[in-house]
Amino acid sequence: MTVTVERDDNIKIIAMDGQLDVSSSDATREEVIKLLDGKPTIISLEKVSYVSSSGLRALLMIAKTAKARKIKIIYAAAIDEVVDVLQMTGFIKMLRCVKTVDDAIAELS
Amino acid sequence: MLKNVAFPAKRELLPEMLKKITDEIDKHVKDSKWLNRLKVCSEEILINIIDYSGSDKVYITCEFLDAEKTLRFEFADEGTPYNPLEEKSEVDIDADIDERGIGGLGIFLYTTMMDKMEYRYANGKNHLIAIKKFSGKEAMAVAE
Repeated sequence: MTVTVERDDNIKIIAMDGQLDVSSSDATREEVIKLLDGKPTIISLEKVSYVSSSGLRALLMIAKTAKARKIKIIYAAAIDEVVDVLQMTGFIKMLRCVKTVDDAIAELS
Repeated sequence: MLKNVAFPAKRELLPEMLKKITDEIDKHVKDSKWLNRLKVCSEEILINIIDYSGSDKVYITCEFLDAEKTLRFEFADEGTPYNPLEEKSEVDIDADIDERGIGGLGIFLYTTMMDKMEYRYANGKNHLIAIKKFSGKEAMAVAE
């Protein structure tokens, strides 16, 4: 899993790329949380090909941390297979999830 | 078909185990959503065995029965007798972010995805069996 900051002005866009599974979730969670600096943040899941339960926990912990720090956070552009797991577990309505990064930018602008 | 294939119960071998399983499923299931779900289900069960059973090995069966329409997983280990199906998952899918805990997601996922789960302890092994029946166009490529 790689984590890249794709934009960092009035909005921060963090892109994840890879599988969010048991081997990568803890490190990814820590890396993303370190990047939360107060700006409204979009986390692009466009290139995340797989999310297991440990990956879901990472997404939840990132969102909980952001909420505690009063940082607005939106997950964007998850592929259908990932959306399926998010739906099954209720994460899709618990987290703020939108279809595209552009939708997220529009919401935060 | 994978029939009682043994792997050392080590985390570093999890990708190899999942690849064997998904290669097998891929021959039969063409719906990418179900391919993904079955990988998630396998990962959850395997990681629990690897991390908590105390077994040196895990034995994996992945077979398609009933004219290829029924998937049967069996995961066996020689660890401490333990029935994961007795664990009550406390996942509340309607909870909000503040109420939502981080535990129980693994068992919630595989008990939700699969049609039937069974546990038995026999011949010194834990056996966890998971069945998924596919209907016509839901996911299956009918076997050639």
